[in-house]
Amino acid sequence: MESEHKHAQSNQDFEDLVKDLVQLGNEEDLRKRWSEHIKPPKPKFNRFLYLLIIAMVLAIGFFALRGRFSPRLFEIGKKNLIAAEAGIMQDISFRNIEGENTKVHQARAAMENDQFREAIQLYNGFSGELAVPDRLLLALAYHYSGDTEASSFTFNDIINDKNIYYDEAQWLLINSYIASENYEISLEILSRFVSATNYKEDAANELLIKLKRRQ
Amino acid sequence: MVDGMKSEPKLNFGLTEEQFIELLNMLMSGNEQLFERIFVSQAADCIKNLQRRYGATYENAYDTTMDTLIGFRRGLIMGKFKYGNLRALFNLMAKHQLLKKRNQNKERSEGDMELFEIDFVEFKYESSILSKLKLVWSQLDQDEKKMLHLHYNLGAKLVDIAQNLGLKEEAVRKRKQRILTKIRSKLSN
Repeated sequence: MESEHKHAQSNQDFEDLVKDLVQLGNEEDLRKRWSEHIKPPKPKFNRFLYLLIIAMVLAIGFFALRGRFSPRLFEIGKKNLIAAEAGIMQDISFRNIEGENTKVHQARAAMENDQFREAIQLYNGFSGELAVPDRLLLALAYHYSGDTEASSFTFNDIINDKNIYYDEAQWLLINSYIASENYEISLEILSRFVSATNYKEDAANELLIKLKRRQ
Repeated sequence: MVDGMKSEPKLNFGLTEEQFIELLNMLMSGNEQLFERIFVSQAADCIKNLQRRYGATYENAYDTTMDTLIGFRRGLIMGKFKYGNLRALFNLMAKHQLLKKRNQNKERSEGDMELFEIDFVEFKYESSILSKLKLVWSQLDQDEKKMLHLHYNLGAKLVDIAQNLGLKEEAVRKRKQRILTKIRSKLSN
């Protein structure tokens, strides 16, 4: 008797479940069909995801551009390339750096006479390793001759060269501007240089103070 | 009124009383066409109304309208609504659904509240069981779905379904048993 009752109850439960299943399924089908006639709401806008994507795109873009055009040296160099060139030339002459070679001398002379294509040929024809100031001059020569890509590449090459120090290149550029009496630009680069690299060396700080006073 | 001039038949939601009866008959035989033509075509107006009068978002107004359509259709099938001001009833039901969603007890909708209550199956089960039920339903073919709808939703007897489908009653009974066995096995999987 009890088992019969249980069986009947179980059957009733199943019938009820089927009833709900049919109602649910049927109304679900109707909703789907009706939604073809009624404009459904737009999917909810996920602001967080959107901002994340924008941030990622910006970050990727930033690093990609940073790698390509590189650092401040090129940016700063563009500001006053003529002054930089003059400074580098002076720097070369008073430091009497290495690279005392006919081709290198001829290239420097070509630079002084604004013969940039010739200078490029001479620098590229030199089989030895160019000193940093000459590499900077080569980058400038490319720039003046309109070969922006090669110019950018050469600047980056200097900055990214592990044997040369970014500091050294920066330092050289700063001195170049000072030598050409472009104190304002020198101060700008030096200030950025000191703050960006946490450069603690006394010489840099002293120079910074001197330049500020001069201003 | 000018003598001899025939009075226009009263329309309710675009329906005459005869059409309303036809609509009910069609729904009871599992034919949704007239209901969809009359009511689903009004959905856009209902959404706009809920947005304009009650400041509902489009998403809320859309969901509410869908629920109202389901509830109103159910009410018609169950014989809850008589031929009368159908539009007003429909709009009241939509308002009631919206307020219920917002759970705003301060703002009460007019009319008979019980009339508008809809017992959605969704509220009775946990989401995992609901997913399973939906899956089982999706695995049935159209004929099986129609037969179950006529029998369980509309309360049609097997003899009437047999007549509707042009089959013998015994054949319908066997088919029903086969479908139930199929559902039982899919649910127990």
